[in-house]
Amino acid sequence: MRTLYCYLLRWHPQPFRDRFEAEMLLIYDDASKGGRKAWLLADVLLSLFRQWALRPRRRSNTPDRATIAPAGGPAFIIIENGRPRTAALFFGGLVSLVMFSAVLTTSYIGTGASSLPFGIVGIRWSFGWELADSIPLETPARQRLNQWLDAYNTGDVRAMQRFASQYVANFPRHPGTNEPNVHAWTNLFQRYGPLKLHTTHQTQNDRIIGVARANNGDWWWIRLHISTDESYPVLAVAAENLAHAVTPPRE
Amino acid sequence: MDDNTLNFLPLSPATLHILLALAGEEMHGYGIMQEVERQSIGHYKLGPGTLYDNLQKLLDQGLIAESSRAAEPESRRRYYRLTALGRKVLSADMQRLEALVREARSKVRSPKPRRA
Repeated sequence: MRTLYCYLLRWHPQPFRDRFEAEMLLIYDDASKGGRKAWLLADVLLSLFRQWALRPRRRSNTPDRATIAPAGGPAFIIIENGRPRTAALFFGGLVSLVMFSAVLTTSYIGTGASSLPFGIVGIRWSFGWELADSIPLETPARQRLNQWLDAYNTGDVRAMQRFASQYVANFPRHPGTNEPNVHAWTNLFQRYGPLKLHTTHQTQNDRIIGVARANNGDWWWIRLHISTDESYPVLAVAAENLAHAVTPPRE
Repeated sequence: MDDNTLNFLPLSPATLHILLALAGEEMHGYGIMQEVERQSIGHYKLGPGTLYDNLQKLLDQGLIAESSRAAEPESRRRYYRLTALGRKVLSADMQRLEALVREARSKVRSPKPRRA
């Protein structure tokens, strides 16, 4: 029992131990003769909690160094030995963990079909590329977005036309050849190159927004609207340069 | 009673008992524990953890001080004594308690029977 008492005493803050540890042990030796060992143990446990959680941290015996200010100059106190209380660090860590978990959870919920504000995606950006695929690929809208990106990123007119023929309803066609007119897409590719998908956000079953980055560093929104018919045809595809959305396009 | 003294009031039971124990003479920790038990007729027992937590606080507040009297040569015990400020604070709390007891007595005193 005495060993346990010593062990618990050792967990007290150093300044408290320096001052009172020896005396507390002496009292334990005196008082335990009366058979109050359990009470003494409970008391030291309570003391341990009190010292770490309730009492302000007392500095060790090493005094802080203070510089003497030159005439008219500022004075500084060096508190290199000072650090926040352990209890404060513990609770700070706990609060950070809870907040971090809350943000992560919210971020993951935001990838579902619920209608969370798009700003949540901003939080996901800070976690990097891993969360870009957080919307399951199985959703028809996400599948169509990936198929469009695959076709677009080839830079090949034929691949884009195939996508348009296969998946886009009522796509505009060249009057003479009747081939899908993918001029807007090829033009985009020639100016900005391939787009790398960064993250996606789906607010409704039939709508998805992909945030992608071009080689020049510009961010793009790709909005895809699909039909909920069985074959999930694409009703509209639109790409918008985020920089241009805020400032006029550069000539 | 000055503002400096009032800042310490009211004293917690542990603080009050410790200051009261040291009001008579300087004592070491175990002596204080025994004196507190004697004062309260065994109703209030201070553990070493509670005692030294309070001693630390009282030392920081300047209500008690380590005694300059040398401890017994072969003992690691330290002695503590009441400072002038500690004595003033204790007196102020006694006054507060006396007023409280007076008030309590007047409240619980049974009313005098009315004359018919």
